[in-house]
Amino acid sequence: MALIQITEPGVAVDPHQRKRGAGVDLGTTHSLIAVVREGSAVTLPDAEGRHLLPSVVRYQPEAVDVGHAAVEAARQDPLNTIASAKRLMGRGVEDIASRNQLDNYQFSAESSGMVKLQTISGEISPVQVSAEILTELARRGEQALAGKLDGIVVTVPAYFDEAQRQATRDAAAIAGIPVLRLLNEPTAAAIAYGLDSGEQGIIAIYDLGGGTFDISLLNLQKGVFEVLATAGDTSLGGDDFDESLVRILLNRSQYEGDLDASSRRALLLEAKAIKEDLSRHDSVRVDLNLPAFSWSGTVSRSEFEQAIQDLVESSIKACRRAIRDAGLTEIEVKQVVLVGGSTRVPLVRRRVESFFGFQPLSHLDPDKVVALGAAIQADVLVGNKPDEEMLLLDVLPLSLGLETMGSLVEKVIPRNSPIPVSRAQEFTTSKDGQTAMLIHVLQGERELVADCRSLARFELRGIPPMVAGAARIEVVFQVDADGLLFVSAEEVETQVKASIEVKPTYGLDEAEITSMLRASVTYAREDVEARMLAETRVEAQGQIDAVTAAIAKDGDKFLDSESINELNQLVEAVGRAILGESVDEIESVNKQLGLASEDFAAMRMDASVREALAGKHVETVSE
Amino acid sequence: MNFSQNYFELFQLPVDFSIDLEDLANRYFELQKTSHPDRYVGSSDQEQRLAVQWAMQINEAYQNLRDPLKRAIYLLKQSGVELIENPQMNPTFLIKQIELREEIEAIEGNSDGAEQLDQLIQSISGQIAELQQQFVTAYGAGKLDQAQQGVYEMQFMAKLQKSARQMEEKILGY
Repeated sequence: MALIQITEPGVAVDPHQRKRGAGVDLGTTHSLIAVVREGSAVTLPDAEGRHLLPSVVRYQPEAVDVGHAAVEAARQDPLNTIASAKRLMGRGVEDIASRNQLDNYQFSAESSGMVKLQTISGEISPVQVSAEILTELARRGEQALAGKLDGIVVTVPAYFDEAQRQATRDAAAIAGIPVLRLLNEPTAAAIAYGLDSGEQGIIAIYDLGGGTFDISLLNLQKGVFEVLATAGDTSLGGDDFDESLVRILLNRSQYEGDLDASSRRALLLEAKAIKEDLSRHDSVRVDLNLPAFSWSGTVSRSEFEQAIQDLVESSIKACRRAIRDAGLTEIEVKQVVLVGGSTRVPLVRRRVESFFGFQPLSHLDPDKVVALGAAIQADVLVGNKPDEEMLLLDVLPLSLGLETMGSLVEKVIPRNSPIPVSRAQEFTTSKDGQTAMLIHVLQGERELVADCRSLARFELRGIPPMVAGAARIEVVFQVDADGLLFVSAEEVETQVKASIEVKPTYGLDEAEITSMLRASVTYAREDVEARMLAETRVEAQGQIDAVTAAIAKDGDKFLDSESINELNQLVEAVGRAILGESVDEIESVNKQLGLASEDFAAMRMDASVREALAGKHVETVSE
Repeated sequence: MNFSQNYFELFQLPVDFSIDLEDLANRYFELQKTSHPDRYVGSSDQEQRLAVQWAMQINEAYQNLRDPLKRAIYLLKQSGVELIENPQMNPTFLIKQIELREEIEAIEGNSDGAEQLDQLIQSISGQIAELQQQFVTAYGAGKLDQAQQGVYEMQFMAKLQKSARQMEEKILGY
């Protein structure tokens, strides 16, 4: 079925007009934006020709610097210059404290919820830092495509949990950019490579970035990218290699005093440079000149490799697990693709090659390939390629479950289930007359609540008093194509409902997002009301177009003339409402149209599913 | 929404245990091409919602059909046979289960445990394949009681397989 185009009301519809979609790789160390132009995906440079935007934001009393300008200030102003914010997305203070982060910022004392950083312009959430980066990239995209972006595909590590995914979505919301889809980074890389090489069969994507590691196994068949399994570590990456080098340098220089924030940051930058040099040379001469101390000497590659060996080994373990989860063996993997800047480290390449037994592919720039794949997907989703056969089938990276008696986790949806997915599980009360039930949603593979990640808690109230075990509480988990979770619960007999969209334990609530939205620089330029009206109009017009197209195509097939008339009248009513200025009015008639056309839409959908296999399986399916 | 058709009907396959997995995957791809939410990004909210529901239904069907144990359970359910939680099992079978479980546990802390475990996992896989064969025969002959008993045994073996794999993860550290 073709995607239906949505046009701004009042703007003449040009059937050949391309929609503006872009792919964004929001990385730990740097970020990129890519678009499809003349049929091929390209990353977009800034005015000085630089494609990679450092994921660094500097907060000043009256201004915010993003990218290169912020990097330059990092040494003098370490506490207000935020790098690697991706590592903090959807994380709590205790998550950070448990990691030996050398470049610790000043975290706010608040002990619950997502971490916040103290800066000169107040408390900043990592979500806001990401929003600044997205805004900067969107600007590039808008310049290149000469207009506002219709939507972006943002990539996330495949192994990102629910809280981290939601935080990424929230960042785009604060930046005011519509998100078409969250796409897993290795899947994005597979698209770029798969379309490039026309490869079929099982491929492995080994993605080691600045702060995260992912391994995904995909089955590529005739335009379908089916993710079979994914595994990884959201806190393993090049940053850890840098930290290993910092330890080497501290050790070698025998400096034992405290490090001030500025020396620490300078040392980290030095380590990053040494790491890059060691990818090309066997040893590197180092002259450290920090505020805290000075040291000169050489660091060898073998010394570095020894220090990072365990880190690399843990990535190989994840590879083994993913292969096992996919029900495969090493020999069935036909191709391995390297993604992420950290795969330039020679030890990483050697180890991946020895594990899989053949040389990995890396001819596409490992820094850019994710953004390129995202751009291709964005181009398809935005509707520029209605006949495109490409389809991504992704999986849930981490199991989802509920807390049960004895602080145990009952898994509701196991990891690597294809998404979207919906599962229901029945629970019962444990005490006589129990009228409320606390529902605690968790993510992770372990059996104990304490070892899994808490996503959210909510309460089902108003259960009619019954003897213990008599109530039947059905909890439904629904995970959408972005990997985001919605949970609802219902007492089956009485149909008492409680439902929440899972707002993670480490997430932002609506109020926080709204206030950040108002505070954000980009948003301040626009009138909030005008924006709401424009969005409502676009949505209503979309429905008008959808219903009109559906009637033209299948109206006679499923509806009598009376029903068609009724729908047409509602379409006209929505059309009239759009011309007015009332958001409520547009929403209300549009909702009526939605309800009135629901059965028709369902009939069409049922028919198209039925017809999906008709005529096809004779030659293609049963091959 | 017409979810009344069973998973086999949805995939337009005969109601049968034997399935060609490659063919099943191809049918799955064709179905997802018409219903995956990615195909409806520009559509109205209700069409998007319908697409998500269909995609979920197709995923659920695929998960049930591609896994032999789930497929067997589903077949029984279609024939009106529901499984119970704590079935009465043959004592000889249970003793064998306990022995195998002890064998898995004994491997922890054993220096060449990984290899032993690998053999054990293969042996369990072989036994599961045998049980599947027995299920096909029983189900085909309409002996549903016997087929049901076979499924219970398959469930036990699957749990055992899972424990063995968890032990393997523990030993190999991943």
